[in-house]
Amino acid sequence: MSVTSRRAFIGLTSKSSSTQKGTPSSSIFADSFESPPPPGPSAAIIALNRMAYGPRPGDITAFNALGADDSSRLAAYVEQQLDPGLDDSACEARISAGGYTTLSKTMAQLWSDHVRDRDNLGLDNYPYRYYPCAESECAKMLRAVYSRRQLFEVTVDFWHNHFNVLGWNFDIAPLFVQYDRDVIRPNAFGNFRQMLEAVAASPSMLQFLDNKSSRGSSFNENFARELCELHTLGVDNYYPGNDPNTIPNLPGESIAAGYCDNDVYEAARALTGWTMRDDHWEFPNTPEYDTGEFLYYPDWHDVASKYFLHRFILANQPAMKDARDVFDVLCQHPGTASHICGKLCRRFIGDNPPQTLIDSAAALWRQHWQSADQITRVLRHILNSDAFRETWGGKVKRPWEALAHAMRATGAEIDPQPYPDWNPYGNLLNLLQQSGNRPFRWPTPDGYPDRAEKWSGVSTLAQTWRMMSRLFELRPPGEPEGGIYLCDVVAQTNAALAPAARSAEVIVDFWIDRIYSQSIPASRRTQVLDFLRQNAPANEALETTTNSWSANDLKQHYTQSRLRSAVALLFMTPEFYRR
Amino acid sequence: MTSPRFPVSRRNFLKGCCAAAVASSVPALGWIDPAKAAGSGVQHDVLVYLFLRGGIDGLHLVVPYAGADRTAYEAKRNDLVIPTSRLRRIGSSNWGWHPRAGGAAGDAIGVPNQWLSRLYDQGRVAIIQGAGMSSTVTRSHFDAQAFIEFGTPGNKSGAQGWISRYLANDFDMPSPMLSNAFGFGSTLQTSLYGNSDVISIASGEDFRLDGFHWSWDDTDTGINGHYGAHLRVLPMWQGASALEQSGHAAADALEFMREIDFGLQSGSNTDGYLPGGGAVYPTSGNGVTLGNQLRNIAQLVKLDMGLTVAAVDYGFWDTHESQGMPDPGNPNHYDAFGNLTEGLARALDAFYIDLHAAGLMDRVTVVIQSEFGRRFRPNDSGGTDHGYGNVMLALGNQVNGGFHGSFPGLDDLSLFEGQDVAVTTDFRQIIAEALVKRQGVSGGAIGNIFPGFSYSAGGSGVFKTG
Repeated sequence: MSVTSRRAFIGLTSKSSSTQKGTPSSSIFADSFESPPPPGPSAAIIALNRMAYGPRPGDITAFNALGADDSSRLAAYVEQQLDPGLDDSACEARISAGGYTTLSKTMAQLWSDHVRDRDNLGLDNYPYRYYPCAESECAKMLRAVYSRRQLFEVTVDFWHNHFNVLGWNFDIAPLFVQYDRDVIRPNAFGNFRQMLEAVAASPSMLQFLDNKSSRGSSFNENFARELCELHTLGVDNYYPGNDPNTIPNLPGESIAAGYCDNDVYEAARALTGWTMRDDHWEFPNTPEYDTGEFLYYPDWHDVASKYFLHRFILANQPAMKDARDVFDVLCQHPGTASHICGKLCRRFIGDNPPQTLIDSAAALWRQHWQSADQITRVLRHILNSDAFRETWGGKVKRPWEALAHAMRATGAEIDPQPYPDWNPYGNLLNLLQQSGNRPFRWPTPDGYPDRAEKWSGVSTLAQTWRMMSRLFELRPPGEPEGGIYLCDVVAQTNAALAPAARSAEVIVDFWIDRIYSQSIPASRRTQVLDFLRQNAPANEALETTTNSWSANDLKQHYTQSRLRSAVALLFMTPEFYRR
Repeated sequence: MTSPRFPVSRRNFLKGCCAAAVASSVPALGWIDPAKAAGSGVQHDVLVYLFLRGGIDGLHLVVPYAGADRTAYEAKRNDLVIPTSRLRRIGSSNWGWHPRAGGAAGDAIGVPNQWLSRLYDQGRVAIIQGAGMSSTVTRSHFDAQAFIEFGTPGNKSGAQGWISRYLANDFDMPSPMLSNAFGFGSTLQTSLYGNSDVISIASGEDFRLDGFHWSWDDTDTGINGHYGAHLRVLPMWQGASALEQSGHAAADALEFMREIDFGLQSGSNTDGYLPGGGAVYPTSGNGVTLGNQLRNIAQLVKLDMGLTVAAVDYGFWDTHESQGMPDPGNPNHYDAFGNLTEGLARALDAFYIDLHAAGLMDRVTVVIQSEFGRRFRPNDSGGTDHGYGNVMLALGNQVNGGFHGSFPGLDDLSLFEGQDVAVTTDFRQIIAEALVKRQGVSGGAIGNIFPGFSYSAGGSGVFKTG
């Protein structure tokens, strides 16, 4: 095994081999217990870091005002967040004022403008062809930072990953607005069966997993496989092979316990004919067959009977019923309930949530498989659980989540635009892309992974830190030297603290409170504090209104730049990445 | 060159090593054990594990050219049958390369073979047919990749990838300047799980902490007491949790790699990296990222910092639709699979030329595999669906070029479940052979790396010994 002789030689601290117990960041679900762990952070911190993208100034106070104790505050917050009537007009106003041109286009308009370019505006070429995806990304960023419906935005992100399509794709980008606006967002708190059919019929998914060209007896299995493996039953319910008779039934039921390859092929046959109006040469040569919208094309449908999960599907059923029968079987199946509730618990709680909670959530899921508020009910159940309230630090913040938190906590003023040339948002999103978590860019249908070990790697952390080091240096497009910043931490520091109060320790603690809402280990704080104060005592006021060379007295050397860098460093601690 | 076994400061090491390694044309790996270098034992090489993500259609890369397999191919592969006139025949075998393995779209058959095809002609490429998981069938990308990368077909609940277990069973590795194991990509490969020393990077050039304002970004040695902000990160990542250890490794790696210029040498970047032998890594097409990552690996190998194993990926092989038909000689034809193939071929070729010029391809071996092959009969979308058996490839001067394994056949009775190429060689046999013959792992230790697998020492003869 490798030896760390080099590290020891150049004097870097060797890795601690002692076990650290009793820190506020320990999860109650840690593997070993030597002494009872101390109480975790408050419900406010848990809720705002796991049901939301982190606290904006004032969010913690508002949360704590919702009740007399953590249990009632959380319950009230969950209800507030699940309420579809929660006023979000300020955020919507920002989106309206963003000047986006594609977000309200119908499917037919998106197709006409960005695929066919019927008005000869060049909109089917780069970069305009990609604007529906690029503007969806801008709206996503605005909502992550400003929406009051944080749980809704987090849940929409969950479903986008669950039903992942590669938004930044030549064929899908022009259509992507429909996927976000009409398929995922309307159903995110609603009914899964309804969302599933909307996904299956969406041109984005029909393109992504090739079902638009699946026909006859030589079907394309791509979508059908992911339907079973990713979207519903999950690979844990997969029995590789082609003989469905080797799979047992669910106890007491006549439906198979899981799916095999043959079921995938049968589902693919059921889905033949689900295509889109893309002027295919076999379609009638009229304009209504060239709108980009969903089309069920009976000529391409395999009408023979199917045998799916031990359910016999008759031949010659009415249009689209074969696939709908498949969806019904999958959506009622306990395997689907467990698979999805397991994912929801992992998203909101930790990577190893209690099986009892997954089971109770799955039972509720299954019971309400036809209810319009199915997902709302299940979220309410999960978020009010003991496991939710008592777990901390079992997840790692993914780079997108980290960026959103940084912008929220530092009062960012952003106006993201998909300019074709360089602009600060392009720079920022490029850095996010290098961290491996840029929205709508995951290329395979499984979506961004949601396990801590996938986001704790060297590359992820290094590239996220790089992004943070740059975030606080970005100004709005066209802003001159000496002007404002997107996340203007200097201006906010000077507004919040009187000049005599602007010591390094007060400034650092001010930002720790804004970012963490609780203290962080002294060892981390000291690094940032020592960096900010340089040769000044920690309690001596710094001159934060100037930014100039001062090599002989480093406490005055580019102090504003140093302050921005210090805030950036506060986003590079282990504690920041736990949620 | 100073051997990293002896204590040396990082800066001095890199100053001394970079220039020497780049300029040298003699294998200058400081961690060669002289006794072994003399041929008295097993050499210790660098292993590059390249995973083709998505399930490459091996039958479209190494294509039946003659004989019974060609007959079955022409009968059943429908619209994806590549005419023999469009294939680059592999020697005088019954197989041919997809033409883009040896030429660009506009290069007709008859234009001399380039890239992967040329390397095969030089005896540097091994093709193993009918490879895959012999004990487990799955057509799920997720499961197949997990089984293969954990090294435990049928079981994906482990905590360690096979490379991590290899590292724990290789007692002869050099003492590294940073890590023995690198994963190239923005998320860590499963094969490297469970090893807290592994360094994952997506690109050498982007791997630095350099976004701070210039006044505090870099330590200014001309200002007394001035230290760059980045130096504050490593001390904040102390602790025993997995996250803290990973962050510590990240901060450590950032400090180390900050000193290395991973950009290409040019007029405006004279400190940059100059590939050897005139190697040109792809700057356009599908192979750019892979080429950059292989170039970074080559640079790290030449820096002689103890890199022993690198994992790298090349994806988008999941060609369910519009796989494309090659038309060599026609520069503008649609061929999605061909574009991917050309990217692979050019990136590997540049890597080979670059390291071979430094004599280092005697010490570097590339093993290439995918999670499964694709179905023999195509679908109606111009593509293919998930299959089973596939090709594996190996590249290097210590590879016995040619065909290995036994192709199971394409007649109805030989197809697995009547639809896929069967598996006759377990992928673990090939990797294990590389570990034993090139990495110095004892045959008896293979059972620790691939639990439940019996390594056949007689082997498949893919790799040279010693």
